[in-house]
Amino acid sequence: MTAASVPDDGKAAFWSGAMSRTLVPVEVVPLSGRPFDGLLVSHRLGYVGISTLEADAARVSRTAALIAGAPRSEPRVGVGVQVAGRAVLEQDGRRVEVPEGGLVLYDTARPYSVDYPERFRTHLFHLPRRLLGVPERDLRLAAGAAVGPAEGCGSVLLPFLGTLAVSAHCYSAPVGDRLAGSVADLLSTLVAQLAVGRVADGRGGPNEHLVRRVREYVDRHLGDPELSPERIADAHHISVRYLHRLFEGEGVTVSRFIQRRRLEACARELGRRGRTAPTVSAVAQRWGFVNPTHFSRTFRAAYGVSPREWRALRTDEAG
Amino acid sequence: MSVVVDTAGVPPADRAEYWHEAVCRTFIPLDVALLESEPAPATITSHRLGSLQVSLVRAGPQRVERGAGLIARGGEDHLTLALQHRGTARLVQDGHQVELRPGTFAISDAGRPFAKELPEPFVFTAFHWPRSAVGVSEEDLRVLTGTAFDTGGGTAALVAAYLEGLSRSADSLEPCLAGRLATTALDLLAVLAHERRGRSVPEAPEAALATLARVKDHILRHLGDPDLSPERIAAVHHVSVRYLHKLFRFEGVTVARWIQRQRLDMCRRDLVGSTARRATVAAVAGRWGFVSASHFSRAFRAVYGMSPREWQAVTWAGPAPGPVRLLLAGPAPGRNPSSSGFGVAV
Repeated sequence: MTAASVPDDGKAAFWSGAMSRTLVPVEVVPLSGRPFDGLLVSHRLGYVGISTLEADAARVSRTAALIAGAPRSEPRVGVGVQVAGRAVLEQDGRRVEVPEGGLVLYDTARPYSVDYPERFRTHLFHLPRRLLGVPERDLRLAAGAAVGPAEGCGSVLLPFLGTLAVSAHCYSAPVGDRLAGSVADLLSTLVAQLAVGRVADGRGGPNEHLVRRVREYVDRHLGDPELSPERIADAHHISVRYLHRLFEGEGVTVSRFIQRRRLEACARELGRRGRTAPTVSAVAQRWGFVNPTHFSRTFRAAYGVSPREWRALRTDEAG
Repeated sequence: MSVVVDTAGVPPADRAEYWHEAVCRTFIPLDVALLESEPAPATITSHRLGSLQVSLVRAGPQRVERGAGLIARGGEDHLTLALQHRGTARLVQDGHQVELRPGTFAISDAGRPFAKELPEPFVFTAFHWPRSAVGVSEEDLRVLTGTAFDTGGGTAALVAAYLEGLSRSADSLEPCLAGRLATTALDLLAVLAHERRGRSVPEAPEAALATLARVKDHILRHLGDPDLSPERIAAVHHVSVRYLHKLFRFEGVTVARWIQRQRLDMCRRDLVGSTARRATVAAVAGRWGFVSASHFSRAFRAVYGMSPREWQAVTWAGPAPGPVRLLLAGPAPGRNPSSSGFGVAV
């Protein structure tokens, strides 16, 4: 399926629809600001759905609203194999950069987003969560983790999944069923491995609870320009040093985390349609950005477009 | 654990004898004739992954043969898959002659005579496993031997991609992870055998395919229900039991067989357990619709070649991986270790 024949202003909607039908309901937003183009090829192998997506820079999000909109849909585990271009996945507040040639695991039952900052090619594997036979706890530990092509089971899984994705069309149904079973076995192994890794790192232990409380605290105080690592540490009766240590395991610094959550809040608000659109500076200020130029710069760095362009893109597409 | 054989430290005149001994100890009793008057150094790097032994072999021109006399001396229950990386090979078994070039693989059965000629310097990876580790019938196994698998496409390419990945990372995998990944390798070989046997099944019409997809989805949602039966499934989908059976003929299996295989697969994943506690065999069997634990164990062994408890032992992530069998214990008795060509790295 390709969007080449779809007019530019309808492409995002076209892509959201195509991906939602073949994989799981998601929103696709182009990030480059240039005309967006892409190619989506999907196959089924037993209970495994395999899609190959090649497109220009984009953000693919599974939002809380989309999840709430289809409460009876089957929760699935997804694995993205990054063939070309980078990907940055965020789930459960964890943010992970997927290296070219690596893979990332996510759970469609909870919100996630993937940023592809440049033209990319990726294979996406989706299968029902219950067929993995892994406990919910392990899956939570494993979601939002990436594996490089040279580490752990990555060196075994990646060549296999890559070969499977490009040959998915050529298997008979009985062979497809058996191969689906092998994919489930391998992903089950992967989840167990990632979960063990996180527990060993102390990320699944009591710290996880504290990290979650800190995240919630940050989200509640985003609009406060005084929000800082010092304030957070004070509020949780821990040292700033310990707070930084907690976040080491999350792959992001505390200040970065705050900034990202603020940008996300701004992006959400700017993208919302309504009769009275707030000004960019009002939105920035509401979410704790004191300096409008600093805000515009960081926004562009994160989303590839200026706040104004972002708003124009989002409100046009939705309409 | 890895075992390394290297004949570089052995005087060329003694290399043939050392090499012969190393090959027999690593794999199975074989006759080996080196075709160079002054043999070049040769190496074998071996790793054990669950029931699979993975060995990278790099050596000069030679001919190996397994005659009836050697079969009687042991190893007859093993199969070996050789994935050729460099050089060519000619394998003859059961009157079938197989030509191997880089990127292809072939399987030999140590239970029957075979001969292999490698006329040039070569590199291949050998995957060596006991036939009991794969729940494949003797007839299915027969289709795997005496044939060259081209890795250019299809299931053979998938098997090769997987095996190559496995061999590349063999030295860095933890035992429990290695056991699970090796099991998937053997599963893929079973799929290859299944496909090669090519039980001819009629092409299903579109309408039948759609119903079949719905039926399978229904089964997968109700695997844990011990009352899941062809009658119930037929009733839910408003078709006759007869038609249901006909649908599965397009798949080359019976409904009952398909359900059982899916249940067994789920049990096998579940038995590995989690980072927390692992479940008992009876609990897992019950969870996936098996009413009788002994029936479950029998079915499990028939399909996977081991008991549920053996599977748990293979994949147990605990501190004790179990006894490690050292394949090459060291230099041959009575020889001076310093001049020996066997380096054993553990």
